[in-house]
Amino acid sequence: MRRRFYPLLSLLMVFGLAGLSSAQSEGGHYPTAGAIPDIVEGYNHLWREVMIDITIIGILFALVTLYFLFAYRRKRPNQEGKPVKLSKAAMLGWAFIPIFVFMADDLYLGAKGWTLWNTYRTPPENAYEIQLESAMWSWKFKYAGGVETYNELRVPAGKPILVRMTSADTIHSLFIPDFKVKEDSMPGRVTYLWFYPKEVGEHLITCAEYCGMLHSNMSGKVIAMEQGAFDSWLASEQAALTEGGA
Amino acid sequence: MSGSKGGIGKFLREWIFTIDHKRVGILYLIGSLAAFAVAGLMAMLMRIELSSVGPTITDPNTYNVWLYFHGAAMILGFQIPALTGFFANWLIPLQIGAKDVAFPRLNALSLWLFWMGIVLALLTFVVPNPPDIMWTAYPPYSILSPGNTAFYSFTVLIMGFASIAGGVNLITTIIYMRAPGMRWGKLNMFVWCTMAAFILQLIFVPILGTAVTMISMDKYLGTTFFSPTSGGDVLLYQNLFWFYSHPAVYVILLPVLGIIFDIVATFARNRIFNYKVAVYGGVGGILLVSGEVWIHHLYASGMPNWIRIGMMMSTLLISVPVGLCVLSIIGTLYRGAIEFKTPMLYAVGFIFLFLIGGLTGIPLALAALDIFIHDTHFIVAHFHYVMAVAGTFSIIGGIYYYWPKFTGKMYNETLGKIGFVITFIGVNITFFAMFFVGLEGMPRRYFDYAQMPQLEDGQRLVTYGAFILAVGFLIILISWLHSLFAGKPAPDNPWGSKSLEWTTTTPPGPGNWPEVPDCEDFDPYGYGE
Amino acid sequence: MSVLRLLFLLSILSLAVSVVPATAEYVQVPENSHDPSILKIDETSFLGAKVRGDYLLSDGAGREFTLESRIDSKPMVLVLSYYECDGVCPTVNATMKEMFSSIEGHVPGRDFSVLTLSFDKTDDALEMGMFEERIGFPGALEGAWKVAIMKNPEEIETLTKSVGFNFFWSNSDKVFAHPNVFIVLTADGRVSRYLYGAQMKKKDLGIAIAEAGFGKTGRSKIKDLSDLYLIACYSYNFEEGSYTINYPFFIGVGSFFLSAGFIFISILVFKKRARR
Repeated sequence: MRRRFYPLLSLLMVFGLAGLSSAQSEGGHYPTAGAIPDIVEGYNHLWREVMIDITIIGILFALVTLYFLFAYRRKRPNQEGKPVKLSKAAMLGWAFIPIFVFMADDLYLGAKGWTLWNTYRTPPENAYEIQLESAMWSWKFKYAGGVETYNELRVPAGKPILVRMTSADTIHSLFIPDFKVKEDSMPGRVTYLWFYPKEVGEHLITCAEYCGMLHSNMSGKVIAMEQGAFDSWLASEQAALTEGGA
Repeated sequence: MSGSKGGIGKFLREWIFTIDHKRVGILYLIGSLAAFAVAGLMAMLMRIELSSVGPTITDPNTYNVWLYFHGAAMILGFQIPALTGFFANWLIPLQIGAKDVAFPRLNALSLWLFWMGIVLALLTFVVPNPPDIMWTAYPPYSILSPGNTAFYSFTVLIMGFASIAGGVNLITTIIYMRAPGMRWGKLNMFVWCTMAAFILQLIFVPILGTAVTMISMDKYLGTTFFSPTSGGDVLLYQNLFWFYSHPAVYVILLPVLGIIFDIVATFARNRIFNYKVAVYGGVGGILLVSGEVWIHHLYASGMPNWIRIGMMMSTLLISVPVGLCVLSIIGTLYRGAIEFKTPMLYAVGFIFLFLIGGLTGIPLALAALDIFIHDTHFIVAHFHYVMAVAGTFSIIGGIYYYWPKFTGKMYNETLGKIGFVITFIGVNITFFAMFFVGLEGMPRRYFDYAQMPQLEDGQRLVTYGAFILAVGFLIILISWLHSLFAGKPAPDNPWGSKSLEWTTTTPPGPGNWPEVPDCEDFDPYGYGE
Repeated sequence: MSVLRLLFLLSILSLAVSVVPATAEYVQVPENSHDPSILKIDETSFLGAKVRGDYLLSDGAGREFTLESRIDSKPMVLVLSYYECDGVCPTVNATMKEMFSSIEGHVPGRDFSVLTLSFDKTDDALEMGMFEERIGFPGALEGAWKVAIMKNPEEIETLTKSVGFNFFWSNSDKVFAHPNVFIVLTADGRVSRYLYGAQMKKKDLGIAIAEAGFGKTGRSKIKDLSDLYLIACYSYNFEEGSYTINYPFFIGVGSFFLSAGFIFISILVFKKRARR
């Protein structure tokens, strides 16, 4: 048994490592979905469920522990415990029943998480695409048509936004807490995230991957505007660009 | 401690050139506690810095160096050496009935390497351009950084050599040097756990070694292992790093669990509940699963979607072996005769801290939830609960537990208990508040949070908690010093434990026992018979 | 004596050292007067860019189809060239033809397709037919490789811009100046890789196709595994524009095997001893 264990283990690991280290830019595969799911709502829902789940487990374990600590405190100085002698069946029972309970809970949560994960990684078909090039220590957003902004991600409200990311120097991570999204940007690979600003408003962007001295100052804003306002802003920027270029 | 009849010179020679496993262990402990003290000081300074918006006491560069040192020293300099250096070296020969480790000189070599590593790490504060690359040292930043990445690489390499030497040594010891009659089926839990930890070290340390070597070559020799412009791959480093560093979490966790098992069994005077399942299912399961989950550190790093979801499932499965271990610990309390001495208090504290830390790992394991809480203070709080604090509680509890044995002095029970209560309160204020700060979206490794001024109250609460924690650690230190200088002599077996290490004299002399004990009728957990 | 000899040697050496770059300077005659940076593809900005699927194309026989239908959930190599090109275009297409059917593990038509698209607005369907003939591909490859023009010639610049492909008409030379590049698109129509015609090797095209098609649903898992091997062992070198061996990966895996191997051997030795 033990002899079979190591080759098996090493095989598993190398397979893992091969798959994982490799998979170059997922640059291309952004599966798309038709309807626009709501990441934030899905997140809040799953979060609540997980919190209920772990609170129940935690309280259960804690209460049992506290009860044991109280009920089996030492009453006489030389008292010894009265260990339970487990029969073989009981021993296996105490192994497999907990294993199944834990696994059932894992699978339940895993299935829930899987759905939300697909939502996270499946940008809607009609998403508006913006390119990000991060650098120490600023965010450069590029719009179709060559308009560029720094640290200001202007987006039309009511439209899902897909951000396609690379980095000029080191790894950064685009983090928009209000939309519960985050993904690293890095040189040599293309990564993406999407979010859905439903209403007009401003949201914080901040960097979540350590990138040196001004890591904590690397912040920006998502500015969700009315579609009309956004269009005219983009048009005016573009006009300024062509004027400036000519 | 040992007398110094021949003057201070002889005393020093005896200790520095020692090949006795107990002295090697104690020197490991001193080194790791030194690392803990300095890294803890860094933590306090960082907490002061974060207590208010804007630069408080320093500039970002200095802060980043503190943060780098805190992480690297706590893991590589404190936890791993304290557990696999001090406890393993000092305890394993005593628990298996050996006179010493298999290769005493190799043991001394690994100790010296460890001390070199500590000195190299401490040079951070002396050299110009100290490393500021965090303990993870992700490229390209670790290559672009103005800091001297080499200090990090060489610290890791030297510590790696030390732990490989230690691992080979102690695994051999466990296999070949058990006392007659000490069969596999009746080893202490600590021996099992530590052996598993050493196997993980032996398998995975070389990978970290190559990864940090490649970093240094990229930085100083102009190679392009991790430079995408020349065919390198940025993400590969993270894979290699976490391929080691996730198992490293279990290198820490396993001995921690082992110590807790032994403390609980002794103070509950009870058998380990379901010993075989804890060993084969719990410890063996952790050994098996630990190598296949590292992508959960890269949920937001641009890895392919399918692998992230796959590793989410394997990550969730970790709860199974760890759950079996926790079940056995709690089950050991059942029908026991529990006495609440200081070590037991730490063990109980550990159970609760580990529960909080372990359960908050579940949302982190779910890739979809992790996307938001990844790299925020939430995860900082999580790994401090599960690794830093629960681990440190186990280490401190273990030190209290074996204190009478290795110093020959009893500690002051009241001081010990006060220390426990204060640290327990401090820990929970610090890190429970940190969860909520993280959920507000505070990213980790931030020098300042001017863009999130609303978090100032929470951050200040965390800082207050950290100060309470510091007071707690000071009291623990005082209780140890007090015991060293004014403690009562300890009896051979102050706790009434049945484990083998308590059958020798206090403190154990050279060779541990006059002759190797016969363990035919011995059972380390043979209570209630 | 020996000092003299050494000095002599040194002087010869220094001469050689200085001559090499000098000749390099001399030999490098600029080929044309255009600023080459105009033609340069800004790879970081365009990798991952989506190409619209609804462009209407038309082939040599006048049949109309959309770009999407060509991609058809497998990677596609886009070759932008034009009929009258007497410079690199024929070479590019000839290179493509040469490699086309001999890429190991990737069957044209099943695993990828090729589209040669003319960016010359004046090209027409007839010329495309002649173009096909000039490339001279056998009928069997018909489905896998098409030569086409834009149905609406005005749209061509929208397309080339969306993949970062710049070109312009040079009045002095009476040719289009354009980069000599294969654009590998993923099954979703996103730019996955640029491969430059001059340096491209057959291996590169195979890896780029593996990369672009990896993990696409509907493909066999075995195919993905063989692709995984390619993707893991090679990484793209932006400087050289080709794939190079992924050394860190081998070093990492090697160190793992080394340690795992040592442990395995020690277990064997231990068992042997235990049996004695």
